[in-house]
Amino acid sequence: MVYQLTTGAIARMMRKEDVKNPTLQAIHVKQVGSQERYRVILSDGELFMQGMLASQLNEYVVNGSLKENTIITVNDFITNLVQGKPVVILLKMAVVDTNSPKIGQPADAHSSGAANSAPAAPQAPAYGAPPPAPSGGNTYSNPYASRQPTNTYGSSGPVGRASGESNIVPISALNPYQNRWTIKGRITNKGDIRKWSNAKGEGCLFSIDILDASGMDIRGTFFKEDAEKWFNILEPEKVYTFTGGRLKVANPQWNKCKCQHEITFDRSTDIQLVEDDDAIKANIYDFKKISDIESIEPETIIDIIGVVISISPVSSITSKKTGNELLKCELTVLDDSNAEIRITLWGEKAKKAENEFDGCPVVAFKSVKVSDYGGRSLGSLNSSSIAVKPKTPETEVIKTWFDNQGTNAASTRKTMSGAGGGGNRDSFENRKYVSFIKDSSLGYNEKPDWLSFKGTISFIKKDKEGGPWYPACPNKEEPCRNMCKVTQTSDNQWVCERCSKQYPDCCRRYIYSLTCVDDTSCTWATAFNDQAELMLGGITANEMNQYLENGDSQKFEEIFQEALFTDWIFKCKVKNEMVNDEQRVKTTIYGMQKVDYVEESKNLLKAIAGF
Amino acid sequence: MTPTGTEQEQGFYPRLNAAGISGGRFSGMIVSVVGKQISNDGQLLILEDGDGAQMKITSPENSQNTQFIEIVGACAEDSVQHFVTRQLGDEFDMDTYNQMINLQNGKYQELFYQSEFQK
Repeated sequence: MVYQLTTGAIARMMRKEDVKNPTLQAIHVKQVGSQERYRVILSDGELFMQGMLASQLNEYVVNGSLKENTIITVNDFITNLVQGKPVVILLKMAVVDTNSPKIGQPADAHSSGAANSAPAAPQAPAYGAPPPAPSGGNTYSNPYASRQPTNTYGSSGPVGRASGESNIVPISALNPYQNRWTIKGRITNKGDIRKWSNAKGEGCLFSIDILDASGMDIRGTFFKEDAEKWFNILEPEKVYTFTGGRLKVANPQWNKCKCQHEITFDRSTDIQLVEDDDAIKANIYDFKKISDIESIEPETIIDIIGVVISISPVSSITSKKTGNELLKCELTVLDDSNAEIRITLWGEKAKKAENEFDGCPVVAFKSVKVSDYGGRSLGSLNSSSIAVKPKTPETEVIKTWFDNQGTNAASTRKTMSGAGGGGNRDSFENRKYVSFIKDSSLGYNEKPDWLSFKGTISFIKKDKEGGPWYPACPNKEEPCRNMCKVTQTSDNQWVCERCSKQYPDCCRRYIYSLTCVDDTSCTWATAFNDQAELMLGGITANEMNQYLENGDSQKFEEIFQEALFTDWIFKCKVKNEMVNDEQRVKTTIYGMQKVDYVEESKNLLKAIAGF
Repeated sequence: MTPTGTEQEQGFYPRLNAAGISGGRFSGMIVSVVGKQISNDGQLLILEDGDGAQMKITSPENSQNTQFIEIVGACAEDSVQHFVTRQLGDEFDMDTYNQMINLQNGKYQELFYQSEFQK
């Protein structure tokens, strides 16, 4: 049921007028001080004001019938002035509905000058008068008092107040009960314009993250016409003052900013570009070295900084989930750990990539996600932000490194693609054992489980029709990168479905199952090309195919035989999947390391000593 | 034959360092010693164990050995009579090996030896 609140009641109560039994909503209830006294914010749907519950009414709060958003009828009240501000003291009331959604978007009666704008109203003694002595000994500090300057502007009422620089509040001070605020901050992230369309309607929106001098950041969103208006005006990395907008509680699932509130900017919003302020940091980065990424778990969100050494052409992909077409572009980034990694950009960021990153600039990427695609790679999210030549000390360090050694160090450079081969080195202590997979029911969560264990290869399922490999595209470049499947045509050519080219031969890549065993249990696992090559002493699938074609099946058998009963430390991903209508837990090897017996012995001795 | 007269189990031999040889605990049994070759004059071969102590090998082979070797032979009161030499190469982590055999022969001997050998 939607209750009719007595609109206009608050304005009159502010003016100390009598109102007969108004129906109001208590949009906030809070205990104050150490005694049992309750503050109540009363709303008539249009305006809200401060109220206090007379102690004889405390029972309503204690027994839970009066709580946030409860609708009440006020049967007896008085309005007192406390430090110059009107506060309603509730003396008698009745609860209409304890549980209710918040009605309307009431504004602060105190700051909207309701008291001054009433028609034919009696004098409003509250404003401009010196604060009277606190009545009834009810002195208490009122944290809801707005932070506007009170008497410093003489007798000007709330409406005539000067705004501007002196009115700037720190982001941490913003709350939904304060309407007039200005913050000053740097746009640390500007998201793309996104369109939505649902049952209620459609429109577009974009969000920005604002960081102020106190180090706190907050997300603000523009909708529809406001989005269109401000999108082309606001620039990331610049400092602005922002005035006006609605505050609401932030959703931590999407909003990673520090502030617990977020802003919805609206028509009343005013934004002014101001001079850069060094007190406001450019961005809070926590850069990781690219060479360290091979030991970072996929799905982790990190920041990196490096030189963009190559940009792929923009390609278009149809999203499996939404059916929408997405623009995509891949950059290769190199930093002073002499390691490079691919990072995928989407949408607008992808479109502008070729121009923005021309000339091998130093670029910082904030909040990008580590993926295990292609060993290790990075993907940008909507919340990622990219800054070309950012004002942080690392920029200079990387630029200097690149100019002096960067181009020459290519021979020793490490690439993170295929970093799966090196593996994600779990420490000895973090290693598990094979029976752990079943015992801990790994693989049944939304996200795959990862584990490391030491095991021995006991069997390799190599006898598949055509060989334990699949034919892949010989095209090393985007988008195939030697990984896309090709099919054989009738005249012994190979056609790639991705790049649509024909080749005389394909690039075979291993894929087979094997069993790993340790002293607890045994498991099936799948090996892909990089791991298989490691296992088989570096012999490629193409070479193996050659042996078979030359009739040298003995060599083929020998090479697999050599791999049997070798000891490795495996890094595996465990996930359950649907296979032919059945749920099966699949273990895939992402990294393997030969057991170093000396190191392993030392670790074992240490573990024994600690027993 | 073990000191108590029972047959030594096939394929089982204690791994010793100098401390293990002396004292006669394993006297009469086939044992294994691993160490760094210090000298070999045809009559006596000296090996240095992980503790830095010396082990005497009698009737040694007169061939070229790598720096680290394993000798399997019959344990006497304070030496081992050579039966077989195994080359272990020029790099061997004596310290780790020594720690392991100390655990085998000391704290965890129950896991490795029948009760009659336990001290």
